[in-house]
Amino acid sequence: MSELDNANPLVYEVSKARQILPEEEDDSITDKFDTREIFDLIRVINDPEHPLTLEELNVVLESNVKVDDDNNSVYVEFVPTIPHCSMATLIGLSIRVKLLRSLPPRFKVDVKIAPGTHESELAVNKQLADKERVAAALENTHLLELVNQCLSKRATG
Amino acid sequence: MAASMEHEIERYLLGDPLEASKVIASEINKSNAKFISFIEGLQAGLTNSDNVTRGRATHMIGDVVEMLPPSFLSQEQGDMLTTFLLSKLRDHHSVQPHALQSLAVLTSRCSPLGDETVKDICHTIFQEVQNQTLSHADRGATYRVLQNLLGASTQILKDMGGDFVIGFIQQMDAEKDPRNLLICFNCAHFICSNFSLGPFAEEMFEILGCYFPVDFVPPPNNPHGITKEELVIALRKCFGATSQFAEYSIPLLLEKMTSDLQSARLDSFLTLAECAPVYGVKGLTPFLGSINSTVKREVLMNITSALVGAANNAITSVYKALVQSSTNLINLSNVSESIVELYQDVVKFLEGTDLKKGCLAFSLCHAVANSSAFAMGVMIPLVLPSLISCCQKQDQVSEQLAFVKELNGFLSVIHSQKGNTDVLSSLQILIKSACTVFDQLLKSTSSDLQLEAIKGLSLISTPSIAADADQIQNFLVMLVTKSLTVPCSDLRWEVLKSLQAILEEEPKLSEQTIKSLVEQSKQDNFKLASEALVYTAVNRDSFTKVNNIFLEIMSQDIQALSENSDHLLSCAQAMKQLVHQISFTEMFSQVQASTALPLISLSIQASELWTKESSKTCQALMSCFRETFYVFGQFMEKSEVASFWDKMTLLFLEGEIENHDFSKNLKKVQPFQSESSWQQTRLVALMEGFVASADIQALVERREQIFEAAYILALHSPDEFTHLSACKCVAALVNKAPIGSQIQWFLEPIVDKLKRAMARENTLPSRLRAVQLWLWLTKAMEIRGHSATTILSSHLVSLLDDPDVGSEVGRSLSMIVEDMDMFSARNHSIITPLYKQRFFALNLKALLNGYQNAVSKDIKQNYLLAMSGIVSRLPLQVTKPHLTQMMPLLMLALRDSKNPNLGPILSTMSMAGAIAPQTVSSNMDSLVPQLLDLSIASVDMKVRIAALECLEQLTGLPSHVLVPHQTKVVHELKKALDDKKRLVRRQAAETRSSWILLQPESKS
Repeated sequence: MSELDNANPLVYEVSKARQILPEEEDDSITDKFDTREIFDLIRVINDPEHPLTLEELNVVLESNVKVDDDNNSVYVEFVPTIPHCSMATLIGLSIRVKLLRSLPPRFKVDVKIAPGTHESELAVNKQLADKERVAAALENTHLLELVNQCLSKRATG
Repeated sequence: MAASMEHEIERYLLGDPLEASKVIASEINKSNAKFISFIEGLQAGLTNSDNVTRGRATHMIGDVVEMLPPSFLSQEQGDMLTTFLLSKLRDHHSVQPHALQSLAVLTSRCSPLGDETVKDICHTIFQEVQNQTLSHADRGATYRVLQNLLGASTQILKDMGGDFVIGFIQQMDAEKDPRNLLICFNCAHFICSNFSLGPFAEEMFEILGCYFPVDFVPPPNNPHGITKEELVIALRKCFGATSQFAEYSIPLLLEKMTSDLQSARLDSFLTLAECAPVYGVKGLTPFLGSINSTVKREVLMNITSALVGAANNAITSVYKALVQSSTNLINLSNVSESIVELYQDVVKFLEGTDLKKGCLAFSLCHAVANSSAFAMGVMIPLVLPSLISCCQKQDQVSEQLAFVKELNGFLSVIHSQKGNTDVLSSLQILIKSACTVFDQLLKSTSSDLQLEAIKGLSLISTPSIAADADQIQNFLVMLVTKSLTVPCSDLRWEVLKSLQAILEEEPKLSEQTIKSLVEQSKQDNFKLASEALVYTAVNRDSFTKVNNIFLEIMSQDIQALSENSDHLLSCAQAMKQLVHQISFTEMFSQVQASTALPLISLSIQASELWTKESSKTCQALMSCFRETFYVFGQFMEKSEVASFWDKMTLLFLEGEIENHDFSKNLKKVQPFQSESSWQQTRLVALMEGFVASADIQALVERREQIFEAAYILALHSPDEFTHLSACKCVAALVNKAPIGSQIQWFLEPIVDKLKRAMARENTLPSRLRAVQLWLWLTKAMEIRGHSATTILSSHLVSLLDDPDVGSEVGRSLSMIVEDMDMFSARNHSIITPLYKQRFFALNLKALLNGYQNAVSKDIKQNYLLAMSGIVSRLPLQVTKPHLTQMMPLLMLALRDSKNPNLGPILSTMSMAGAIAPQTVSSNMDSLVPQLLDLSIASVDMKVRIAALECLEQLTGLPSHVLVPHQTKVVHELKKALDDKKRLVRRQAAETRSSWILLQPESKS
């Protein structure tokens, strides 16, 4: 990565850890999956370029997450920092893989670029929606390593 | 005698110096021999034609004198010997070092020497001794001679003037042994700060300056114990010894401040900061421009925080010195010009786009402003407008936060100069506009920004800074509103702290604040309001008010008990906080009359009103009061404790109310009678709180009666709460009882009685009560490390075999190794260190054997319970040596889904993975399935989470242990991802992700 696409991005404030409600500690109540829960999973993903999280770069927002627990679907839109960001596919892939690993298999996961925020929006969306291409991408050890880097816990902080 | 003297001298010269000089010195000291005869005896040696013998004989004088008491020799004798030794300095070059060593001893042992002799010593040394040609020990002797003379005959050396200074400089020149340098630096510091250096200031500085910066690294193991820091500090003192050095040292320091070595730069800034006050305006002014630019350079480079801090410190110290030593207006105007120049230098950063540089530049300006009121008056009007505009311009929270923090830095400077009204009056407009900034920030959604805004406002809302009272008033109103709306967080803590700080400055405002808070508390946010009320108690008046308000509210609540128990409990909590808050102030002296006794009255009144339905509330209230009583016991004066104890014991034992400041219309209570109703016996909690915390030395009267009563109550009271309270009372008394026979005296009958109470023929509840009491007794004795404790604990372990009470013992045994607030140094408990380890070590074998020999499965279960409880509560370092032995048992304990210790065992296991990876690795095959099972199937969500956490911790083990299980774990955890509880799902996602991410690491 010799040259950065976006060398000096704006950094946004990180939301506070979710407050734990008494109901959540009560074993007899069932908690449904909600948008914040999904958002908590993806907001900590590292940006491939910067030592920052997707949340700090405003790539993912809680308002861009939709979840329907009863119908088993999760829908996430993300906003690349700049319209010609070459990392958009990698970011999308990371979000997808993170959700695949962290959600029960009953969910259908859709990850897309928010409309009008990227030049090659359609192409990237198509790649991300293609199950086989995602599976093939993860066979590629180099790519898998990149994705895992995005998903690993940051060494500092 | 003469013969033996000769013999000893012979012995010395032939090679046993230590023994021989010891014998001679003791003979002389006992007056068996005369010093003069010793010298006469030496004659042959001293005049020997062999240089070596002459040298040794000369040395012997020193050795013997060193072993004589100080001032044993008269001045005359000293002078005589000195003259002789000085002549020896002119002797053969191999004799000279011995003469120096003896001189060093002589100058320290005989003082004062005659004036002429002192001068002679200096002249001869300066003339005859070529110090640079000697070995380090002999050079050291020269310095010691000079050091001794400096100490004993300062005036004479001063009179020698330049001769002495130049002589010293020549002797010290080119010294490089750190041991000698320490002496040299000390001498140099003394000379520079006491003598007039005259024309030799430059020379003096030159021989010192060449050591700067010190880069000494001690040899391995540091045999002489000299550290770099010692040398650095000694040299720094020399630099700052006289203002004459300024013109030489500042250029040197400036040069080193631009060195490539960070340590050199750091040392230079620190040295400048220390020397600036000595150099003063005269020394510093010529270099002010360069100092400004060098410090600016360092701060803006921002290499490490230590360097930036040191540079800022240096500039603060420089400007402080400038202002303090300025004697006329011309000087001051120079200083202000220089400040303006510095500001103009950095102004482009202040208004630039680079946030980091901007903040650093502000910190530099802050350092200057911090130096004095004068500098603040010049700097703040220049900087604050741009800083305020920076705060307003930013729309990103993180940047705004950085600027506001700087702003608060400046405001704290203003706050520190609040007495200085002249300067402050010129800043009013700026302070106003800062207020506007803060008002905006308070509307922001970020709690961090609000927090900083409140910090800033409370800095400037003091009467001497804020010109109009309205501002303070408005701020106070805002704080009151915030305190009622912001729930627990850092922000709330800051709000309450500010509230307290402002009321402390302006106590007259507290009355109206209390009023408005009480008004507010009648609406539904009583909890927050009562908490805020605690912080308005800033002096005796306001404390009394708040105290009475709380008492009244509680009394009303108790009358209307069934309606609102939360209200009552939060008021009791607030009361506890209030008492805690004033425990460090002089207000605490009135607490017995104002709070402690009314609380007892209140509890007694309440005891008539509790019903079966409000039993839980009663427990909660009594527990809260108990904690309040802890504070009384901890902080009351000894005499107060004694008088309060008197009243309490009379009330509790004899129901005496009349003569003691309780309110008159109370009914008689008998809390220590086990036949009394639970409403009454629960009052024992108050007694427990006080007994557990107060110093036993003050609880003298009726202590035994209370002990007896509590003991009987603990055995017989059917009420669980009362029983526990009474047990704790007994435990506290046993733990604190004065050392000696007394303990045995009351322990023996108790142990017998308890054993009888535990015997099979009694009913189960009463046996269980006896067991509980026994547990508490053991705990109290274990903590104080009493020798009788083994009897108690071994009996406990044997009780595990009992089919009826065994399971209770198994569950509770771990209590003994648990940390409890009740037993702490603050509560005046007697605590032996490492008591838990001792308990574990002494009882482990019995527990293991007991498990092996247990007859039935249930009994085995009791042992497992006890063992798992103890192990999971002890630090792992203690149990580590036995971990291999215990691991199978712990695994068995994990299989028991009813074991209450599952959570703690799991967290012990996770830590064990890090501390004893070997042991855990060898058990992986059974551990992993067990953990997977628990994390999916356990009914308790806490256990599921703990099991998942443990699984996550295991990923720290070497990968060859983990990889065989990876597929299985990753697959099985899919089920945990769909757990019905969100917290479990969160942990499951983390655990699964770390097991998935194993792969790349194991490959690389």
